Amino acid sequence: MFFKKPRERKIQNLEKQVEHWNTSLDDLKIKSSLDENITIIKKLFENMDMMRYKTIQMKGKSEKRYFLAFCDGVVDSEIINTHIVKPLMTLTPTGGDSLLEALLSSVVQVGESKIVDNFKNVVENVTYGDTILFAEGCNQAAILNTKHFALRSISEPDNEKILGGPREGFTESLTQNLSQIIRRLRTHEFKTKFITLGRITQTSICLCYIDSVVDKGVLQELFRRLEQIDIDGVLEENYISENIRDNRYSTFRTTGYTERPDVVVGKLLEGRIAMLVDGSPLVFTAPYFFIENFQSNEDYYYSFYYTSFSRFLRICAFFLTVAVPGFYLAVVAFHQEMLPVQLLMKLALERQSVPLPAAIEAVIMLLVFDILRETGMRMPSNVGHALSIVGALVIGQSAVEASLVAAPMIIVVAATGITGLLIPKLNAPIIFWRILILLMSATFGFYGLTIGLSLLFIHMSNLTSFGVEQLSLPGSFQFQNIKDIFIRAPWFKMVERPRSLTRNRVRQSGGEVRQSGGDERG
Amino acid sequence: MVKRFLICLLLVAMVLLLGGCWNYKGLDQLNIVLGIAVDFDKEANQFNITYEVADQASAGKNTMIKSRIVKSQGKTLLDAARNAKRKEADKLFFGSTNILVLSRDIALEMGIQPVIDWFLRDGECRETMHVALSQEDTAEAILQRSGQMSGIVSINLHDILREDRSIVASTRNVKLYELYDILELRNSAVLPAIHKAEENADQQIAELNGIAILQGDRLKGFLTPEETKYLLFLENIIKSGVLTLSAKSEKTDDISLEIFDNKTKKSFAYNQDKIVVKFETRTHVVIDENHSKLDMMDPEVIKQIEKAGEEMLEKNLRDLISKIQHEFQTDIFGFGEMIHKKDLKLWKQLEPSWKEIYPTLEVDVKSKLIIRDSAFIK
Repeated sequence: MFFKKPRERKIQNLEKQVEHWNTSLDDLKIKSSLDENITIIKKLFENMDMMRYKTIQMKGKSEKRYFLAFCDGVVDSEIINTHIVKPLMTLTPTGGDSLLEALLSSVVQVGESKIVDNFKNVVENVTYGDTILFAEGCNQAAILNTKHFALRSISEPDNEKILGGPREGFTESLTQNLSQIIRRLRTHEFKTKFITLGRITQTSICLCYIDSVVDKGVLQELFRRLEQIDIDGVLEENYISENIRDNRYSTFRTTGYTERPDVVVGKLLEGRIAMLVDGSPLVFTAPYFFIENFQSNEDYYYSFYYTSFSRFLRICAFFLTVAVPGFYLAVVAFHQEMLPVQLLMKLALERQSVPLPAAIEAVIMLLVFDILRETGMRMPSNVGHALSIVGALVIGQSAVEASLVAAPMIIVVAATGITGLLIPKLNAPIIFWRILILLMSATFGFYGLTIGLSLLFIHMSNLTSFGVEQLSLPGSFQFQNIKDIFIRAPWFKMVERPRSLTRNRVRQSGGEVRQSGGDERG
Repeated sequence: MVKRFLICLLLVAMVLLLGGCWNYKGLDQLNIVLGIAVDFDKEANQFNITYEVADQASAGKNTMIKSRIVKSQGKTLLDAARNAKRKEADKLFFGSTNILVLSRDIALEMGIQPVIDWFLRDGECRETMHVALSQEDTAEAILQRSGQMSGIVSINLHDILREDRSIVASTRNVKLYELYDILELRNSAVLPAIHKAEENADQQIAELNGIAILQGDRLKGFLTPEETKYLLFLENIIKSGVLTLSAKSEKTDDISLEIFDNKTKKSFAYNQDKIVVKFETRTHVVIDENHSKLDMMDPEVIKQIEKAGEEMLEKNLRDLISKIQHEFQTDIFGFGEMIHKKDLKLWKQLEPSWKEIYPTLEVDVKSKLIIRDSAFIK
């Protein structure tokens, strides 16, 4: 061939352009020529063999060509066959301003559809299970909802088990998750704002709040921070949370997360904002109080006597798990005179034949415990009892009988480990602070322990979550605020919402409600 | 920024290092001293010190921890303590010492001040250890175990001393720092006295035997356990104990009264160069034992017993005061301190010749005994 047809040349040029546009599809508008559009889309999805294309030729008085593109695996082929392809072949479009609108209104039998004019939207939607319909002579395309994914069914989340109460948990589907929330909030004041994050993943993210309760300042701040994120992918809530939370280097999380719809609704009702990320069952909540680490949804479903006690246990557990190894070491290695004589003699007897110094022993045993814990989490469940044999027999019993480890140390490590497991949300900070305090105690005794704990408290009281203090200090003490801290007050006493979260405080309009308009946010 | 960081680092380092308590010592390297007995060898001119230490080597996992005796000599107490390290693998640890027994000779000839000085001055010694005086020839004898006696002597003695006041009222326990304070304040003190009582032929057991009275830091004499009880009355620290008496003023006591509560008021009156010190005791008791065959349901009988008890108490208290005033001539009740506190002007006059005035003070004792119930259900 010595010359090419002008049309072919044009298409070759187009392919080059597509390569150039690949990075910024925003500018790539849909052409009015169907062939050009076909070329562009085939070039865009070159080597992507999941894509399916279909050209439909209408013979008749008006000869029309349609082009369908969809991605295999995420579409419902039943819908495509019977409600898109079949009508396109048999029916004639009528009415509408353009051909596409006519098709949507009179031919295609799909509930959700929209018309777009650039390839960016086309690409985003076709990979999410939609079918794209191009029509000859239209510089637009129709996006038809044919989504169909394999989804996990709703089940109780494994890491937030409760004895009684709703057993639903979130799944990986954003719409399913939203449905679980909206079912519990049947009001127009429940707002959901969608945004998209992730250059490549284009993940849908939904911000939920209750309009009349939420603090608008916090909401604005959240939007501001979200806008600054530029990341290639968002697979889970933590991708965002680590980017936008206060005290980003802190070992403590200053944002919350949960897998339970009832928890999310409870938090929304207190004026918090929830963020759902498509593809992740974890839902982000903010602002986050420090005490929320110790709260459980069960607290609100059971007798307040019982749950106040268990909350007290959880708070104690935090201090125990952080300080017990350090305390033991300080007593054993520095301040022996603090122990009652009988206990001192017993401990000394146990330590008599142990070769390692107590400090090294403590560090090793804590590491061993963490290794066991990590193994328990990672290993396949059918080799589970191997771990218990190694853990209980080899380390617990044999090490003590062989006098490699002192028995009191095993007790200390066990107490530390068990209390640590009581508050799973504080896993990360606990490990670091425990070791820090242990090292301080090993070097300076009680003096070090005191300094370590002081550092911990100073750090904790400096934490904020979207500008709201995580730990309310005595300076901003409010009686109504502490009803849900160390104890869980009975519901008839919790008449106000937390003051630092919202200005709309009336939770229950009973006798004890005091609503003041002043700005007392702390 | 770098400068600020360095300054912070410096401050943190200073805070950490200048705190000054960071002696890491392993629990397995401790030789836990439970009790100390101090004797002075006049011929060799050195201290003989006996330590009762916890014996970890002989104890198994399931047996009780026993003790052993370590002895050391030295020109001073610290010298002796350090000399012990010449034969012991682990350094002696004084942080958990229960009891310090001083020999009678030290209290008589040398004074106890030089001995307790080291225990107070040394950083490691426990200031709350009990101090006692041995009535045997040596202090060592108290800690030495004889025969089949089980348990650790020092810990036993510590528990006996601590609980005595709330059960028997036969002695007055004194902790090391209290001893020092009271010597500073009153220039006299009391110490519990311990002797060895014969249990059977080959077994002697350390037993509390009243108190020792010290003037300055020298021993003046001993009080029997019975006398000590009345001393505790006068010091207003008696918690419990038994009063025995005869309701019909016969020779053998036939009624036991258990003391429930006692309040003693100490006051003085001064007129025309005469000082009268007044003690008023008010004691609640219950009848706990009755062999007298008297009818305890009869209010008249109760009154009679109360009266007999008051008389008995007053007599014993008076005897005790006079013994201390005249025989020992020590102001262990703190009469001088009382006058000093209440009437400074008077004290200024009396102070120079207080030593002569003290034995001549007139003391008035008034006792009130209230029988609360007869502890008997009919």
